[in-house]
Amino acid sequence: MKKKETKTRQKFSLNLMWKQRYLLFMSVPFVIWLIIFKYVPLWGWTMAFQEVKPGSFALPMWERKFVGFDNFIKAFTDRLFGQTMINTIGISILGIAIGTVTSILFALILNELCFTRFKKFTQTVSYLPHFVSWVIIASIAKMLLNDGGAIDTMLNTKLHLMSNNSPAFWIVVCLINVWKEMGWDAIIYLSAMAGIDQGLYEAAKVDGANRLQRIWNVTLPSTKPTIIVLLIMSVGGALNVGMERQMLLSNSIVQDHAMVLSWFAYVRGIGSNNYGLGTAIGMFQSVVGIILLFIANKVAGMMGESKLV
Amino acid sequence: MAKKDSNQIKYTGSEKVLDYILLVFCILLVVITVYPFLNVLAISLNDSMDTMRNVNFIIPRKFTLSNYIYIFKENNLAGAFMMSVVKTLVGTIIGVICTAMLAYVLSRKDFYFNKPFTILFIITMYVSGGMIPEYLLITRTLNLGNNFWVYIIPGLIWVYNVILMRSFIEGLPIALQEAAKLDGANDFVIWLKVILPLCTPTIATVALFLAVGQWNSFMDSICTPGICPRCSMYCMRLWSRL
Repeated sequence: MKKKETKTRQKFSLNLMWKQRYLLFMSVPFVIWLIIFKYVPLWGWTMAFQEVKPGSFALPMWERKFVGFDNFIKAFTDRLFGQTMINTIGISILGIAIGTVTSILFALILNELCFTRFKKFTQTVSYLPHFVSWVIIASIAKMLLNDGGAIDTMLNTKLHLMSNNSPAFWIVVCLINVWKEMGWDAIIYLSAMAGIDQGLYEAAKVDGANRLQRIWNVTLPSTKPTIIVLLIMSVGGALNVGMERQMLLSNSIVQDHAMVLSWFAYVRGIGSNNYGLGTAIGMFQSVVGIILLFIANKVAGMMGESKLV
Repeated sequence: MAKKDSNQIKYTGSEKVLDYILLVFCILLVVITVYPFLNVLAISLNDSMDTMRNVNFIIPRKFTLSNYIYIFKENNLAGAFMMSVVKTLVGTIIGVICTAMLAYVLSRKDFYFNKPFTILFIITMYVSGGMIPEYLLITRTLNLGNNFWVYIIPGLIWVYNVILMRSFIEGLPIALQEAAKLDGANDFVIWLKVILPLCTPTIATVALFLAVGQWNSFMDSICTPGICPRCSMYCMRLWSRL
Protein backbone atom coordinates (compact mmCIF):
# COMPACT_ATOMS: atom_id res chain seq x y z
CA MET A 1 0.00 0.00 0.00
CA LYS A 2 2.84 2.33 0.77
CA LYS A 3 4.25 1.70 -2.66
CA LYS A 4 1.02 2.78 -4.27
CA GLU A 5 1.03 5.99 -2.34
CA THR A 6 4.57 6.79 -3.42
CA LYS A 7 3.53 6.07 -6.98
CA THR A 8 0.63 8.50 -6.98
CA ARG A 9 2.72 11.15 -5.30
CA GLN A 10 5.70 10.46 -7.48
CA LYS A 11 5.36 13.79 -9.13
CA PHE A 12 6.21 15.56 -5.91
CA SER A 13 9.95 15.95 -5.47
CA LEU A 14 12.36 18.55 -4.21
CA ASN A 15 13.71 18.76 -7.69
CA LEU A 16 10.30 19.70 -9.05
CA MET A 17 9.81 22.25 -6.29
CA TRP A 18 13.19 23.78 -7.13
CA LYS A 19 12.19 23.95 -10.78
CA GLN A 20 8.96 25.71 -9.89
CA ARG A 21 10.51 27.92 -7.21
CA TYR A 22 9.48 31.11 -8.97
CA LEU A 23 5.88 29.97 -9.21
CA LEU A 24 6.00 29.08 -5.53
CA PHE A 25 7.42 32.49 -4.63
CA MET A 26 4.68 34.11 -6.66
CA SER A 27 1.80 32.23 -5.08
CA VAL A 28 2.66 31.12 -1.56
CA PRO A 29 2.53 34.67 -0.07
CA PHE A 30 -1.01 35.01 -1.39
CA VAL A 31 -2.03 31.65 -0.02
CA ILE A 32 -0.70 32.73 3.38
CA TRP A 33 -2.65 35.98 3.02
CA LEU A 34 -5.73 33.97 2.08
CA ILE A 35 -5.40 31.70 5.08
CA ILE A 36 -4.92 34.62 7.46
CA PHE A 37 -7.70 36.84 6.15
CA LYS A 38 -10.25 34.35 4.85
CA TYR A 39 -9.74 31.07 6.67
CA VAL A 40 -8.69 32.27 10.15
CA PRO A 41 -11.96 34.23 10.53
CA LEU A 42 -13.76 30.94 9.90
CA TRP A 43 -12.21 29.76 13.17
CA GLY A 44 -14.18 32.62 14.67
CA TRP A 45 -17.34 30.64 13.96
CA THR A 46 -16.66 28.86 17.25
CA MET A 47 -17.63 32.14 18.90
CA ALA A 48 -21.17 31.44 17.77
CA PHE A 49 -21.26 28.65 20.35
CA GLN A 50 -19.68 30.66 23.14
CA GLU A 51 -20.58 33.60 25.30
CA VAL A 52 -18.33 36.39 24.09
CA LYS A 53 -18.65 39.70 25.84
CA PRO A 54 -16.04 42.45 26.06
CA GLY A 55 -14.96 41.03 29.43
CA SER A 56 -14.18 37.60 28.05
CA PHE A 57 -12.53 38.93 24.94
CA ALA A 58 -9.02 38.80 26.26
CA LEU A 59 -9.41 35.16 27.20
CA PRO A 60 -8.13 32.56 24.79
CA MET A 61 -10.78 30.75 22.80
CA TRP A 62 -10.82 27.57 24.90
CA GLU A 63 -11.32 29.41 28.20
CA ARG A 64 -14.51 31.21 27.19
CA LYS A 65 -17.82 29.92 28.39
CA PHE A 66 -19.32 27.38 26.02
CA VAL A 67 -23.06 27.84 25.65
CA GLY A 68 -24.04 25.45 22.85
CA PHE A 69 -26.80 26.73 20.61
CA ASP A 70 -27.85 29.48 23.02
CA ASN A 71 -26.74 32.27 20.69
CA PHE A 72 -28.74 30.84 17.81
CA ILE A 73 -31.82 30.46 19.98
CA LYS A 74 -31.39 34.02 21.23
CA ALA A 75 -31.05 35.31 17.69
CA PHE A 76 -34.03 33.37 16.34
CA THR A 77 -36.28 34.39 19.22
CA ASP A 78 -35.20 38.01 19.07
CA ARG A 79 -38.05 40.49 18.88
CA LEU A 80 -36.65 41.83 15.60
CA PHE A 81 -35.67 38.54 13.97
CA GLY A 82 -38.98 37.59 12.31
CA GLN A 83 -39.49 40.95 10.66
CA THR A 84 -35.79 41.06 9.69
CA MET A 85 -36.04 37.70 7.96
CA ILE A 86 -39.20 38.72 6.09
CA ASN A 87 -37.53 41.97 5.01
CA THR A 88 -34.37 40.21 3.86
CA ILE A 89 -36.22 37.62 1.82
CA GLY A 90 -38.70 40.15 0.43
CA ILE A 91 -36.03 42.62 -0.59
CA SER A 92 -33.81 40.00 -2.17
CA ILE A 93 -36.61 38.28 -4.13
CA LEU A 94 -37.88 41.65 -5.36
CA GLY A 95 -34.33 42.79 -6.07
CA ILE A 96 -33.38 39.68 -8.03
CA ALA A 97 -36.64 39.70 -9.99
CA ILE A 98 -36.76 43.41 -10.82
CA GLY A 99 -32.99 43.68 -11.27
CA THR A 100 -32.67 40.75 -13.66
CA VAL A 101 -35.69 41.67 -15.75
CA THR A 102 -34.75 45.33 -16.11
CA SER A 103 -31.12 44.72 -16.97
CA ILE A 104 -32.04 42.09 -19.58
CA LEU A 105 -34.62 44.48 -21.04
CA PHE A 106 -32.09 47.29 -21.09
CA ALA A 107 -29.52 45.07 -22.78
CA LEU A 108 -32.13 44.05 -25.38
CA ILE A 109 -33.02 47.66 -26.06
CA LEU A 110 -29.39 48.66 -26.48
CA ASN A 111 -28.83 45.64 -28.67
CA GLU A 112 -31.70 46.61 -30.95
CA LEU A 113 -31.01 50.32 -31.08
CA CYS A 114 -29.45 51.21 -34.42
CA PHE A 115 -28.44 54.80 -33.75
CA THR A 116 -24.85 53.85 -32.92
CA ARG A 117 -23.69 57.18 -31.50
CA PHE A 118 -26.71 57.58 -29.26
CA LYS A 119 -26.43 53.95 -28.17
CA LYS A 120 -22.89 54.52 -26.90
CA PHE A 121 -23.96 57.69 -25.13
CA THR A 122 -26.88 55.93 -23.42
CA GLN A 123 -24.65 53.12 -22.31
CA THR A 124 -22.04 55.45 -20.85
CA VAL A 125 -24.67 57.46 -19.01
CA SER A 126 -26.22 54.29 -17.60
CA TYR A 127 -22.91 53.26 -16.00
CA LEU A 128 -22.61 56.58 -14.27
CA PRO A 129 -24.53 55.81 -11.05
CA HIS A 130 -22.60 52.57 -10.53
CA PHE A 131 -19.41 54.51 -9.85
CA VAL A 132 -21.02 56.70 -7.25
CA SER A 133 -21.02 55.35 -3.71
CA TRP A 134 -24.18 54.53 -1.78
CA VAL A 135 -23.61 57.50 0.53
CA ILE A 136 -24.01 59.93 -2.35
CA ILE A 137 -26.82 57.94 -3.99
CA ALA A 138 -28.69 57.92 -0.69
CA SER A 139 -28.40 61.66 -0.26
CA ILE A 140 -29.60 62.23 -3.83
CA ALA A 141 -32.47 59.79 -3.35
CA LYS A 142 -33.51 61.44 -0.10
CA MET A 143 -33.49 64.87 -1.64
CA LEU A 144 -35.69 63.72 -4.51
CA LEU A 145 -38.02 61.30 -2.78
CA ASN A 146 -38.52 62.72 0.71
CA ASP A 147 -41.83 64.29 1.65
CA GLY A 148 -41.90 67.64 -0.05
CA GLY A 149 -38.90 66.71 -2.17
CA ALA A 150 -38.50 67.35 -5.85
CA ILE A 151 -40.79 64.52 -7.01
CA ASP A 152 -43.58 65.51 -4.63
CA THR A 153 -43.35 69.11 -5.75
CA MET A 154 -43.32 68.20 -9.40
CA LEU A 155 -46.41 66.01 -9.10
CA ASN A 156 -47.94 68.34 -6.54
CA THR A 157 -48.95 65.47 -4.24
CA LYS A 158 -47.63 63.67 -1.18
CA LEU A 159 -46.47 60.21 -2.18
CA HIS A 160 -44.71 59.38 1.13
CA LEU A 161 -42.12 57.36 -0.75
CA MET A 162 -39.55 57.40 2.01
CA SER A 163 -41.90 57.57 4.96
CA ASN A 164 -44.27 54.71 4.30
CA ASN A 165 -43.83 52.05 6.95
CA SER A 166 -44.92 49.13 4.77
CA PRO A 167 -43.36 46.74 2.24
CA ALA A 168 -43.66 49.62 -0.23
CA PHE A 169 -40.27 50.66 1.11
CA TRP A 170 -38.76 47.46 -0.31
CA ILE A 171 -39.92 48.46 -3.75
CA VAL A 172 -38.46 51.94 -3.33
CA VAL A 173 -35.12 50.44 -2.26
CA CYS A 174 -35.15 47.97 -5.15
CA LEU A 175 -35.98 50.65 -7.68
CA ILE A 176 -33.17 52.87 -6.42
CA ASN A 177 -30.89 49.85 -6.73
CA VAL A 178 -32.13 49.28 -10.28
CA TRP A 179 -31.43 52.90 -11.11
CA LYS A 180 -27.88 52.51 -9.78
CA GLU A 181 -26.92 49.10 -11.16
CA MET A 182 -29.02 48.46 -14.27
CA GLY A 183 -26.52 49.75 -16.82
CA TRP A 184 -23.64 47.98 -15.15
CA ASP A 185 -25.45 44.65 -14.88
CA ALA A 186 -26.50 44.89 -18.52
CA ILE A 187 -22.84 44.74 -19.64
CA ILE A 188 -22.58 41.00 -19.18
CA TYR A 189 -25.85 40.37 -21.03
CA LEU A 190 -24.80 42.75 -23.79
CA SER A 191 -21.51 40.95 -24.30
CA ALA A 192 -23.40 37.65 -24.45
CA MET A 193 -25.74 39.15 -27.06
CA ALA A 194 -22.82 40.49 -29.08
CA GLY A 195 -21.51 36.94 -29.37
CA ILE A 196 -24.65 35.59 -31.09
CA ASP A 197 -24.06 34.32 -34.61
CA GLN A 198 -25.58 36.80 -37.08
CA GLY A 199 -26.45 33.91 -39.38
CA LEU A 200 -29.19 32.90 -36.94
CA TYR A 201 -30.94 36.24 -37.41
CA GLU A 202 -30.73 35.98 -41.16
CA ALA A 203 -32.08 32.44 -41.09
CA ALA A 204 -34.97 33.59 -38.89
CA LYS A 205 -35.66 36.43 -41.27
CA VAL A 206 -35.75 34.07 -44.22
CA ASP A 207 -38.21 31.95 -42.29
CA GLY A 208 -40.45 34.98 -41.99
CA ALA A 209 -39.91 35.99 -38.37
CA ASN A 210 -40.54 39.65 -37.66
CA ARG A 211 -38.35 41.74 -35.40
CA LEU A 212 -40.04 40.92 -32.08
CA GLN A 213 -40.14 37.23 -32.97
CA ARG A 214 -36.42 37.34 -33.70
CA ILE A 215 -35.76 38.88 -30.29
CA TRP A 216 -37.94 36.27 -28.60
CA ASN A 217 -36.72 33.23 -30.54
CA VAL A 218 -33.07 34.05 -31.24
CA THR A 219 -31.65 36.64 -28.86
CA LEU A 220 -33.23 35.44 -25.62
CA PRO A 221 -32.54 31.69 -26.01
CA SER A 222 -28.92 32.44 -26.96
CA THR A 223 -28.48 34.56 -23.82
CA LYS A 224 -30.13 31.97 -21.59
CA PRO A 225 -26.95 30.25 -20.29
CA THR A 226 -25.56 33.59 -19.09
CA ILE A 227 -28.86 34.52 -17.48
CA ILE A 228 -29.07 31.18 -15.66
CA VAL A 229 -25.50 31.35 -14.30
CA LEU A 230 -26.00 34.89 -13.03
CA LEU A 231 -29.35 33.90 -11.46
CA ILE A 232 -27.75 30.97 -9.64
CA MET A 233 -25.05 33.26 -8.29
CA SER A 234 -27.56 35.83 -7.10
CA VAL A 235 -29.75 33.18 -5.46
CA GLY A 236 -26.67 32.07 -3.51
CA GLY A 237 -26.33 35.57 -2.17
CA ALA A 238 -30.02 35.96 -1.39
CA LEU A 239 -29.55 36.56 2.34
CA ASN A 240 -26.59 38.91 1.89
CA VAL A 241 -28.58 42.08 1.28
CA GLY A 242 -26.11 44.94 1.59
CA MET A 243 -26.27 46.65 4.94
CA GLU A 244 -24.96 50.07 3.93
CA ARG A 245 -27.70 50.56 1.35
CA GLN A 246 -30.36 49.82 3.96
CA MET A 247 -28.73 51.93 6.65
CA LEU A 248 -28.27 54.93 4.41
CA LEU A 249 -31.70 54.89 2.75
CA SER A 250 -33.79 54.21 5.82
CA ASN A 251 -34.96 56.57 8.50
CA SER A 252 -36.58 55.94 11.85
CA ILE A 253 -40.07 55.85 10.33
CA VAL A 254 -39.38 52.94 7.97
CA GLN A 255 -36.87 51.18 10.22
CA ASP A 256 -39.17 48.16 10.69
CA HIS A 257 -39.17 47.43 6.99
CA ALA A 258 -35.56 48.36 6.32
CA MET A 259 -33.80 46.06 8.81
CA VAL A 260 -31.96 43.21 7.06
CA LEU A 261 -29.90 40.33 8.46
CA SER A 262 -26.45 41.87 8.10
CA TRP A 263 -27.61 45.06 9.74
CA PHE A 264 -29.26 43.03 12.49
CA ALA A 265 -25.92 41.26 13.05
CA TYR A 266 -24.18 44.62 13.29
CA VAL A 267 -26.71 46.08 15.73
CA ARG A 268 -26.92 43.02 17.97
CA GLY A 269 -23.25 42.06 17.62
CA ILE A 270 -20.96 45.07 17.49
CA GLY A 271 -23.62 47.55 18.57
CA SER A 272 -24.49 45.85 21.85
CA ASN A 273 -21.14 44.09 22.40
CA ASN A 274 -22.60 40.62 22.13
CA TYR A 275 -20.09 39.22 19.68
CA GLY A 276 -21.24 35.61 19.98
CA LEU A 277 -24.73 36.51 18.83
CA GLY A 278 -23.44 38.52 15.87
CA THR A 279 -21.24 35.63 14.78
CA ALA A 280 -24.17 33.22 15.04
CA ILE A 281 -26.19 35.39 12.65
CA GLY A 282 -23.25 35.69 10.25
CA MET A 283 -22.79 31.92 10.29
CA PHE A 284 -26.48 31.33 9.66
CA GLN A 285 -26.25 33.67 6.67
CA SER A 286 -23.23 31.87 5.16
CA VAL A 287 -24.65 28.37 5.63
CA VAL A 288 -28.05 29.26 4.18
CA GLY A 289 -26.29 30.99 1.27
CA ILE A 290 -24.28 27.89 0.38
CA ILE A 291 -27.33 25.64 0.68
CA LEU A 292 -29.35 27.96 -1.59
CA LEU A 293 -26.50 28.06 -4.09
CA PHE A 294 -26.34 24.30 -4.36
CA ILE A 295 -30.13 23.95 -4.53
CA ALA A 296 -30.31 26.51 -7.33
CA ASN A 297 -27.44 24.80 -9.09
CA LYS A 298 -29.15 21.43 -8.80
CA VAL A 299 -32.52 22.76 -9.96
CA ALA A 300 -30.86 24.36 -12.99
CA GLY A 301 -29.15 21.06 -13.74
CA MET A 302 -32.40 19.11 -13.42
CA MET A 303 -34.17 21.49 -15.77
CA GLY A 304 -31.43 20.81 -18.30
CA GLU A 305 -29.92 24.27 -18.01
CA SER A 306 -26.26 25.19 -17.73
CA LYS A 307 -24.75 24.89 -14.26
CA LEU A 308 -22.34 27.03 -12.33
CA VAL A 309 -20.33 24.35 -10.54
CA MET B 1 -17.30 41.49 -37.98
CA ALA B 2 -18.54 42.84 -34.72
CA LYS B 3 -18.53 46.36 -36.12
CA LYS B 4 -20.53 45.53 -39.19
CA ASP B 5 -23.29 43.52 -37.58
CA SER B 6 -25.45 46.41 -36.41
CA ASN B 7 -26.13 47.35 -40.01
CA GLN B 8 -26.31 43.93 -41.49
CA ILE B 9 -30.06 43.55 -41.29
CA LYS B 10 -32.10 46.26 -42.96
CA TYR B 11 -35.44 46.87 -41.35
CA THR B 12 -38.43 47.73 -43.40
CA GLY B 13 -41.71 49.59 -42.93
CA SER B 14 -43.45 48.79 -39.67
CA GLU B 15 -40.33 47.25 -38.14
CA LYS B 16 -38.67 50.62 -38.35
CA VAL B 17 -41.24 52.00 -35.89
CA LEU B 18 -39.65 50.01 -33.11
CA ASP B 19 -36.42 51.93 -33.58
CA TYR B 20 -38.14 55.19 -32.77
CA ILE B 21 -40.01 53.73 -29.79
CA LEU B 22 -36.71 52.51 -28.42
CA LEU B 23 -35.09 55.85 -29.10
CA VAL B 24 -37.74 57.69 -27.10
CA PHE B 25 -37.42 55.16 -24.30
CA CYS B 26 -33.66 55.57 -24.15
CA ILE B 27 -33.93 59.35 -24.10
CA LEU B 28 -36.28 59.04 -21.12
CA LEU B 29 -33.80 56.73 -19.44
CA VAL B 30 -30.93 59.14 -19.96
CA VAL B 31 -33.03 61.94 -18.47
CA ILE B 32 -33.90 59.84 -15.42
CA THR B 33 -30.27 58.94 -14.89
CA VAL B 34 -28.79 62.38 -15.41
CA TYR B 35 -31.50 64.47 -13.73
CA PRO B 36 -30.63 63.62 -10.09
CA PHE B 37 -27.01 64.53 -10.68
CA LEU B 38 -27.95 67.86 -12.23
CA ASN B 39 -30.37 68.45 -9.39
CA VAL B 40 -27.66 67.88 -6.79
CA LEU B 41 -25.27 70.11 -8.70
CA ALA B 42 -27.88 72.86 -8.71
CA ILE B 43 -28.55 72.48 -4.98
CA SER B 44 -24.84 72.56 -4.20
CA LEU B 45 -24.54 75.85 -6.07
CA ASN B 46 -27.64 77.30 -4.45
CA ASP B 47 -27.97 79.42 -1.35
CA SER B 48 -28.72 76.96 1.47
CA MET B 49 -31.45 79.05 3.12
CA ASP B 50 -33.23 79.24 -0.20
CA THR B 51 -32.90 75.46 -0.66
CA MET B 52 -34.68 74.88 2.64
CA ARG B 53 -37.58 77.12 1.64
CA ASN B 54 -38.10 76.16 -1.98
CA VAL B 55 -37.56 73.11 -4.06
CA ASN B 56 -34.79 73.30 -6.60
CA PHE B 57 -34.73 71.76 -10.01
CA ILE B 58 -31.88 72.11 -12.44
CA ILE B 59 -31.05 75.80 -12.36
CA PRO B 60 -29.85 77.32 -9.07
CA ARG B 61 -32.16 80.11 -7.85
CA LYS B 62 -29.59 82.07 -5.91
CA PHE B 63 -26.17 81.22 -7.20
CA THR B 64 -23.43 81.01 -4.58
CA LEU B 65 -20.17 79.17 -4.04
CA SER B 66 -20.36 79.52 -0.26
CA ASN B 67 -21.33 75.84 0.23
CA TYR B 68 -18.12 74.68 -1.38
CA ILE B 69 -16.03 77.20 0.51
CA TYR B 70 -17.70 76.09 3.74
CA ILE B 71 -16.88 72.40 3.27
CA PHE B 72 -13.30 72.86 2.29
CA LYS B 73 -12.61 75.34 5.08
CA GLU B 74 -14.32 73.99 8.14
CA ASN B 75 -14.97 70.36 7.68
CA ASN B 76 -11.62 68.70 7.19
CA LEU B 77 -13.16 67.28 4.04
CA ALA B 78 -10.05 68.07 2.03
CA GLY B 79 -7.98 65.83 4.32
CA ALA B 80 -10.50 63.01 4.11
CA PHE B 81 -10.64 63.43 0.36
CA MET B 82 -6.85 63.11 0.11
CA MET B 83 -7.04 60.00 2.26
CA SER B 84 -9.54 58.47 -0.15
CA VAL B 85 -7.36 59.37 -3.13
CA VAL B 86 -4.21 57.88 -1.59
CA LYS B 87 -6.06 54.77 -0.48
CA THR B 88 -7.56 54.26 -3.93
CA LEU B 89 -4.24 54.75 -5.72
CA VAL B 90 -2.18 52.53 -3.43
CA GLY B 91 -4.87 49.88 -3.13
CA THR B 92 -5.43 49.68 -6.88
CA ILE B 93 -1.76 49.50 -7.86
CA ILE B 94 -0.84 46.86 -5.29
CA GLY B 95 -4.08 44.98 -5.94
CA VAL B 96 -3.57 44.78 -9.70
CA ILE B 97 0.01 43.54 -9.36
CA CYS B 98 -1.00 40.86 -6.85
CA THR B 99 -4.04 39.77 -8.88
CA ALA B 100 -2.01 39.47 -12.07
CA MET B 101 0.75 37.49 -10.35
CA LEU B 102 -1.66 35.05 -8.75
CA ALA B 103 -3.74 34.72 -11.91
CA TYR B 104 -0.64 33.78 -13.89
CA VAL B 105 0.43 31.14 -11.40
CA LEU B 106 -3.07 29.65 -11.29
CA SER B 107 -3.20 29.55 -15.10
CA ARG B 108 -0.09 27.34 -15.18
CA LYS B 109 -1.46 23.81 -15.45
CA ASP B 110 1.99 22.29 -14.86
CA PHE B 111 2.32 23.93 -11.45
CA TYR B 112 2.22 21.19 -8.82
CA PHE B 113 -0.09 23.07 -6.44
CA ASN B 114 -2.33 24.51 -9.14
CA LYS B 115 -5.48 22.60 -8.26
CA PRO B 116 -5.35 22.77 -4.44
CA PHE B 117 -4.59 26.50 -4.54
CA THR B 118 -7.41 27.18 -7.01
CA ILE B 119 -9.89 25.30 -4.84
CA LEU B 120 -8.67 27.11 -1.72
CA PHE B 121 -9.30 30.45 -3.40
CA ILE B 122 -12.67 29.55 -4.92
CA ILE B 123 -14.09 28.31 -1.60
CA THR B 124 -13.62 31.77 -0.11
CA MET B 125 -15.98 33.21 -2.71
CA TYR B 126 -18.87 31.50 -0.97
CA VAL B 127 -17.79 31.12 2.65
CA SER B 128 -16.84 33.94 4.92
CA GLY B 129 -16.27 34.11 8.63
CA GLY B 130 -18.57 37.09 8.80
CA MET B 131 -18.05 40.61 9.91
CA ILE B 132 -17.30 40.11 13.57
CA PRO B 133 -14.45 37.58 13.43
CA GLU B 134 -12.89 39.63 10.64
CA TYR B 135 -13.26 42.81 12.67
CA LEU B 136 -11.71 41.15 15.70
CA LEU B 137 -8.88 39.64 13.66
CA ILE B 138 -8.01 42.95 12.07
CA THR B 139 -8.26 45.18 15.11
CA ARG B 140 -7.27 42.89 17.98
CA THR B 141 -5.09 40.07 16.71
CA LEU B 142 -3.27 41.86 13.91
CA ASN B 143 -3.57 45.30 15.51
CA LEU B 144 -4.20 46.96 12.16
CA GLY B 145 -6.91 49.22 13.58
CA ASN B 146 -4.81 52.35 13.83
CA ASN B 147 -2.94 51.82 10.61
CA PHE B 148 -3.33 52.96 7.02
CA TRP B 149 -2.82 49.40 5.78
CA VAL B 150 -6.18 48.35 7.20
CA TYR B 151 -7.63 49.74 3.97
CA ILE B 152 -5.24 47.83 1.70
CA ILE B 153 -4.30 44.44 3.09
CA PRO B 154 -7.59 42.78 4.12
CA GLY B 155 -9.15 43.43 0.70
CA LEU B 156 -5.99 42.88 -1.31
CA ILE B 157 -7.31 40.30 -3.76
CA TRP B 158 -10.80 39.61 -5.06
CA VAL B 159 -11.04 36.01 -6.16
CA TYR B 160 -13.55 37.03 -8.83
CA ASN B 161 -10.91 39.24 -10.48
CA VAL B 162 -8.31 36.49 -10.27
CA ILE B 163 -10.63 34.10 -12.10
CA LEU B 164 -11.45 36.75 -14.70
CA MET B 165 -7.77 37.33 -15.35
CA ARG B 166 -6.85 33.67 -15.24
CA SER B 167 -9.33 32.79 -17.96
CA PHE B 168 -7.92 35.62 -20.07
CA ILE B 169 -4.33 34.38 -19.60
CA GLU B 170 -5.42 30.84 -20.46
CA GLY B 171 -6.70 32.21 -23.75
CA LEU B 172 -3.25 33.52 -24.71
CA PRO B 173 -1.16 31.29 -27.00
CA ILE B 174 1.00 28.99 -24.90
CA ALA B 175 3.74 29.10 -27.53
CA LEU B 176 4.76 32.56 -26.35
CA GLN B 177 5.62 31.23 -22.91
CA GLU B 178 7.48 28.27 -24.35
CA ALA B 179 9.50 30.51 -26.63
CA ALA B 180 10.45 32.73 -23.72
CA LYS B 181 11.44 29.68 -21.71
CA LEU B 182 13.69 28.44 -24.51
CA ASP B 183 15.38 31.82 -24.52
CA GLY B 184 16.24 31.24 -20.88
CA ALA B 185 13.61 33.30 -19.09
CA ASN B 186 12.47 32.09 -15.67
CA ASP B 187 8.82 32.08 -14.64
CA PHE B 188 8.95 35.51 -13.05
CA VAL B 189 10.51 37.07 -16.13
CA ILE B 190 7.92 35.36 -18.35
CA TRP B 191 5.18 36.90 -16.23
CA LEU B 192 6.76 40.34 -16.24
CA LYS B 193 7.90 40.56 -19.85
CA VAL B 194 5.46 38.33 -21.73
CA ILE B 195 2.22 37.96 -19.84
CA LEU B 196 1.76 41.43 -18.33
CA PRO B 197 2.10 43.39 -21.60
CA LEU B 198 -0.44 41.07 -23.24
CA CYS B 199 -2.91 41.43 -20.40
CA THR B 200 -3.57 45.16 -20.68
CA PRO B 201 -7.31 44.83 -21.41
CA THR B 202 -8.00 42.73 -18.32
CA ILE B 203 -5.60 44.79 -16.25
CA ALA B 204 -7.66 47.84 -17.15
CA THR B 205 -10.89 46.05 -16.18
CA VAL B 206 -9.51 44.76 -12.89
CA ALA B 207 -7.98 48.13 -12.06
CA LEU B 208 -11.36 49.75 -12.67
CA PHE B 209 -13.14 47.26 -10.42
CA LEU B 210 -10.56 47.66 -7.66
CA ALA B 211 -10.49 51.44 -7.88
CA VAL B 212 -14.27 51.76 -7.74
CA GLY B 213 -14.37 49.29 -4.84
CA GLN B 214 -11.69 51.17 -2.93
CA TRP B 215 -13.20 54.58 -3.58
CA ASN B 216 -16.68 53.51 -2.54
CA SER B 217 -15.79 51.30 0.39
CA PHE B 218 -17.51 52.35 3.53
CA MET B 219 -17.53 49.26 5.71
CA ASP B 220 -13.78 49.17 6.38
CA SER B 221 -13.94 52.53 8.09
CA ILE B 222 -17.28 51.99 9.83
CA CYS B 223 -15.91 48.76 11.26
CA THR B 224 -13.07 50.58 12.92
CA PRO B 225 -15.11 53.28 14.64
CA GLY B 226 -13.07 56.08 16.11
CA ILE B 227 -9.96 54.01 16.13
CA CYS B 228 -8.27 55.76 13.29
CA PRO B 229 -9.39 59.40 13.19
CA ARG B 230 -6.53 60.39 10.91
CA CYS B 231 -7.55 57.80 8.35
CA SER B 232 -11.20 58.77 8.13
CA MET B 233 -12.37 58.86 4.59
CA TYR B 234 -14.34 60.96 2.23
CA CYS B 235 -17.40 58.69 2.37
CA MET B 236 -17.45 58.63 6.15
CA ARG B 237 -17.14 62.39 6.37
CA LEU B 238 -20.01 62.85 3.95
CA TRP B 239 -22.17 60.41 5.83
CA SER B 240 -21.61 62.19 9.11
CA ARG B 241 -22.88 65.39 7.46
CA LEU B 242 -26.00 63.82 6.02
